[in-house]
Amino acid sequence: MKRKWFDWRNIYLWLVFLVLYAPIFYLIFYSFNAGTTMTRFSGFSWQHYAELFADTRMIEIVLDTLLIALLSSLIATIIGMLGALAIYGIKKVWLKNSILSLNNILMVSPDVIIGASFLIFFTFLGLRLGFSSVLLSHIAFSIPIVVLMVLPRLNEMNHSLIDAATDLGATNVQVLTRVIFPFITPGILTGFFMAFTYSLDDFAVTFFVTGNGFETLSVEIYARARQGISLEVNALSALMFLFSLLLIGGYYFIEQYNNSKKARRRNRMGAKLIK
Amino acid sequence: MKKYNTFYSVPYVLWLLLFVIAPLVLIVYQSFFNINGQLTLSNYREYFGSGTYLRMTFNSIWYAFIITAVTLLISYPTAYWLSQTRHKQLWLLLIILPTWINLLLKAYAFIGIFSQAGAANHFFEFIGIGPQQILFTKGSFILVAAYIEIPFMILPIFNAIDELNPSLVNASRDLGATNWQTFSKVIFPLTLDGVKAGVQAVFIPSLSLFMLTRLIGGNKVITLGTAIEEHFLVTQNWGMGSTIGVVLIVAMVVIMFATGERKKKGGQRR
Amino acid sequence: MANTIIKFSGVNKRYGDTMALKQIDFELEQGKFYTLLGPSGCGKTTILRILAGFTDASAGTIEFEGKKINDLPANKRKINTVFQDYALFPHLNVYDNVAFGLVLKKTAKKVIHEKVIEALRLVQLSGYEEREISEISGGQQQRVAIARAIVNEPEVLLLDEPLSALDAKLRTAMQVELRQLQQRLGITFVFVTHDQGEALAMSDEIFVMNAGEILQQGAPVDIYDEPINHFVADFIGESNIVKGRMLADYQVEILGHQFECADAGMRVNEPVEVVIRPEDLVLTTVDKAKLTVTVDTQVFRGDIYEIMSHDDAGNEWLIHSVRKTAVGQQVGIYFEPEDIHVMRFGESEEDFDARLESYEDDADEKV
Ligand SMILES: Nc1ncnc2c1ncn2[C@@H]1O[C@H](COP(=O)(O)OP(=O)(O)O)[C@@H](O)[C@H]1O
Ligand SMILES: [Mg+2]
Repeated sequence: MKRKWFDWRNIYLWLVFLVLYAPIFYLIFYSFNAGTTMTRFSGFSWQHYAELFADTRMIEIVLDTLLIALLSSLIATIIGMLGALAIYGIKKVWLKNSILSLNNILMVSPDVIIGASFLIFFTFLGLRLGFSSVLLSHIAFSIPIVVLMVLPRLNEMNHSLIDAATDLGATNVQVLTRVIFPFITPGILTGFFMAFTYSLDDFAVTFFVTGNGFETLSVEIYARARQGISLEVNALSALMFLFSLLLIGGYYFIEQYNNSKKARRRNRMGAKLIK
Repeated sequence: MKKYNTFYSVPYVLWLLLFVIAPLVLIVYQSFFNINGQLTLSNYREYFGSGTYLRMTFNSIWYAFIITAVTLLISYPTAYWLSQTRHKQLWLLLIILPTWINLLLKAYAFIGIFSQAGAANHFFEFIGIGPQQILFTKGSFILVAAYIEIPFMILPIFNAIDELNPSLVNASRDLGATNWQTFSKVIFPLTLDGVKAGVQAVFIPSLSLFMLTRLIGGNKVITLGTAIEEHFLVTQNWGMGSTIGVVLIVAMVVIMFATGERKKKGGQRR
Repeated sequence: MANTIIKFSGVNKRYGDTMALKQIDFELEQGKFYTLLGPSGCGKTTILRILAGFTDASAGTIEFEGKKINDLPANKRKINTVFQDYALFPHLNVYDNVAFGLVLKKTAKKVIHEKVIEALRLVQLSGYEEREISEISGGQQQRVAIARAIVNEPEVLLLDEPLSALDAKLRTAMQVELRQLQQRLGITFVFVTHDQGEALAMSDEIFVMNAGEILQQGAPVDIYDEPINHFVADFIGESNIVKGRMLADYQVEILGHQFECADAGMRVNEPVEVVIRPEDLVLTTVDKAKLTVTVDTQVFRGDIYEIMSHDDAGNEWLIHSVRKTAVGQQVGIYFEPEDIHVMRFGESEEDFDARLESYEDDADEKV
């Protein structure tokens, strides 16, 4: 469809993008403010970044947050992948559907419900609230998304691929490692990635189940935001935005690399044929 | 494969039992205890007896409804026109990117933008309305909530539109439908599943956005989420908090049935 | 039988309430090309899956070279399969797909290389080693699937409708190639198809199946010429099937006329069905005719005219004729005694064979 640049549909889209990005750039803009408010820009300065890097408590929180995200998404990916394999193996339709429904409960539940019910659960178990309760919660709410990312890949997989591998002499373990894993790897990676962002993004659940001074970034930002404006938070958001861009860039790079590997192989082929 | 199946399932089934079923059972169980730890129905009596809780529930649902409606109105055209652009996957990525910025940072940005001397009031002065109290109003809560939810609405609608077979649109034109008729009779009905998924993804979280009510709504708005947080973390009345939680769960189940996604998910294709 | 390689005895398979296979018995000899022929859903794939070891039989024994293999897992059987949808691994290229089985067996790299190159040469895909599966055509994928199976040097190769996804021209070419490949390798092929032309063209021996049973087994010519019952006659080729009555040995009554035929060994006055192939019917003038029919339609098929007609009793007659006639015209049809194939109702394959033998001996004595 041909469209002129000044089409009102394009203007609408630009407006939506403007609205989506304005607050983020607003934040970043004021992170360079020499003053201390988010309303009057009194000159350029790195001072809030300097403050941020000198703030050992903040750096510790950032590291904790990343540690929780990495650990929880790794563990959730493993359990979720095994879960997807188990669900894939279920023959009875009703059982499969019930388990899928159970799987999705944490996906659709509001954060407060997850937070509150986990809080009751941990207290019931007598678990000290802190790092371990936060880690367990993050693993718990990330598992279903991994399952949901891996299961469609499994279902997409032609069942005769498994038969074919067995037919060619593969043992069960070999079927798993040589046929199923390579096939579902994209699903596993997406699942891991989603779990990682879920964990980084979570506020409400962590807010409920944390304790003993253990904090993640979101909880800390909430605490600071309730006290008012602190441009150190702006500096932090600028860095986090950069981090997101890097993540996306990395993701794209991997995709690109995979594609070009294929392309290169094809080129080699071509060269051979010419000879 | 059979032998290995049990091995796969152990951690996953443990998770299902410990982190899905047990917490659900416990929150229902907890809702039958009052603040002094006595088994009682008083929480439910209070909830349904006093107007306060019912009014709060109604308000919460009303806000969620408005937020969902606003989000949908903005998102559908965006998704539709986005799907017609040339580098649509790139644009879509740009829509998703803001969701990777922590929700609290975005809320925090609006504290600045909506403040007395913030950008919004500068704009109002510029067009001659004069500065207004924006922060800590119901309107600001709705705006910020909608802002945060928009990408989650666009995504499923975009996918539904993108999956639409273009020859259906051509067929409709071919059969004499106008653009509007094509839209209302072919495109919209066929993308309804995406809309439902979007509504589901927005409505339920909107019932529980307690941090926004605190940071942006300034206690003008109290949602189910706010009430639960209040009871669990401030007044320590876990029984009442759980009761509200149970109500929220019931509301959630009703929404799920109303938007009717369940049937389709069941029939997994091999 | 010489060199029996596979033996099914009393095999059946049930899925819940449905009997996918009822009492299957057969023996396969080493080095022959067998075809399982039957309509969709008759149990052909089920037999292959039981043979390959993907599915267990509900009852009965499966023997391979004289040893029972019911409990031998698929990965231990010297049997390989070419799947209907090829089942090529999408994450591996052509070379790695073909090498898959050898790699699992920890074969030396050099040996793998030689064997893969040779297998690809056999299926005429030399030079395609580095291609991705998504980069080759359906016909080529099919060859890769065959190469992947034969590179393991199986004793038996199972092929489940391997040609059904190909277009008509490629299909005919592949039929010839597959047959040649089988002869070159000298191993047993079990080929599944629902296309009777394909079965007739390729096989040493055909098993005609219906509803979980083997109805008739034999060389293509025998099955074509002596179908055991209505179903086989109909399935194996276009046929005219009418009711008749055996008056005596070699005498059958059809439509009130008495004809000489080549069948015997039945009760006097036994009701039977009679098959006459359309290509055995010759158009003639009414006065020389054995039967008189009226032409309803006539379609030119390139090599023959396909003529639909009916007799006075309302039976339809399909005639393949090199000569042309006119719609609406009364024509005579002529056929030889040996063109009449008499079928008894409900005769089993064993009884059928026994009867055939008894009167063929008779006939030999007479000569
Ligand atoms: N896994 C299964 N579960 C239930 N019924 C099956 C299954 N596989 C095959 N069947 C049934 O068994 C019968 C034979 O199937 P199949 O061997 O695939 O037939 P064919 O290959 O001749 O088309 C069919 O009626 C089919 O519906
Ligand atoms: Mg089949």
